[in-house]
Amino acid sequence: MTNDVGLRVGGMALRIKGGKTAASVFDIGGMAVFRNSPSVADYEVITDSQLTLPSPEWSYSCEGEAVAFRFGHCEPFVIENLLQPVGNEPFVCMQFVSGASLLFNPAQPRRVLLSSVPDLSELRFALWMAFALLGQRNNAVPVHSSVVVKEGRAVLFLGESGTGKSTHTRLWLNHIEGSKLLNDDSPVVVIHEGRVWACGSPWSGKTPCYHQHAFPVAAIVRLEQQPYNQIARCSTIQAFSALQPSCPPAFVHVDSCRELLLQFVASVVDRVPVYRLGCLPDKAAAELSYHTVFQS
Amino acid sequence: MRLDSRQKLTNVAGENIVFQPARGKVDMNHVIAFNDTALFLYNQLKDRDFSLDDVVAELLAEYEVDEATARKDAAAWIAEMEKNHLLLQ
Repeated sequence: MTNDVGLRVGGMALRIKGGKTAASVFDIGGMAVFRNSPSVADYEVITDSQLTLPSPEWSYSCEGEAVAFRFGHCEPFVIENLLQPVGNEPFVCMQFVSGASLLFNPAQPRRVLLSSVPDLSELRFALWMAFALLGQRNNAVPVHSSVVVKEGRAVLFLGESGTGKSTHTRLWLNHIEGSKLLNDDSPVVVIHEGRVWACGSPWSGKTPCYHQHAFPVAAIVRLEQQPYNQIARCSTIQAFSALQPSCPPAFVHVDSCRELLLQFVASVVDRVPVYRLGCLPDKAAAELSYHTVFQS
Repeated sequence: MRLDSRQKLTNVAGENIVFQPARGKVDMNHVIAFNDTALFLYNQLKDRDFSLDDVVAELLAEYEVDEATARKDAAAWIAEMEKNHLLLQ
């Protein structure tokens, strides 16, 4: 009997292989919406692997509300039938404070290895990181944002934590007729056949909002709190600088991830208008961003 | 002096930039954008040691400027490179 489960996120089919860890995936809120047959997967996350990371070098660390981890690279090594390094190219690795860890060989871009991850908050995050590593090589990247959909097109609102992304999208839901929330924390942005899409994901922060759907992106808007409402279209460099910090922050600290991420951000801002919105938490702010995006 | 070759110039959406990840928790990522002249100098000088006079010579060879202007622009370019941590002394 196998515990393998399947997920479909951002147009990518993943198989989660292994024992107890794989079996607990659907205990995580929202995951069940993304359930898919494990037999048709293009990507795999192999869980409950015995992972001892040789000479890890940590270049990024994060102490979040739910999880704390370090991210970096380690020396490549061989696990028969699983890991086949090419030359001396380092592996990408992550370790939670609990000791649970993740390993990715850039030369095998369809596979991520996970140790046993008994804590569900950590597993939820480990799957996010696994997806981000696999997706990055397939033009699919989770972007920290709150997303609304109106008239079949998505608008992503970016900003540092506490800026009021969720507040702003809630103002849309209340005042812009026909608008709907797609995701409140980490939708997947996908470039497919030259077009930029926002896809729902199992990672939606404090708001349980889980949808499989994908919508073409009409615009990306970076928010900042101001004592007035004002919106301006970004130049290419401004757009790049607006979007980049909302992409997985650890990736710019590891060589094998940085260049791919920068090129992804460049491709997105080349195709989608990006705005900066200084705003109050009021109805006029939502109307301003709505009219600017949909009527210009 | 020498340009720091560990930092790579990347073309993103038609713009030439060097991306510098945040160094600490309070720091932010930095994006340094190059205009055509700054890019020309960067490409000419990236793989060798150079002095202010070398920068002036590159400008005089490429652009129709007098030496005083070239010297002023060369010094400004070096100051920008230094300010943005792109120079090794």
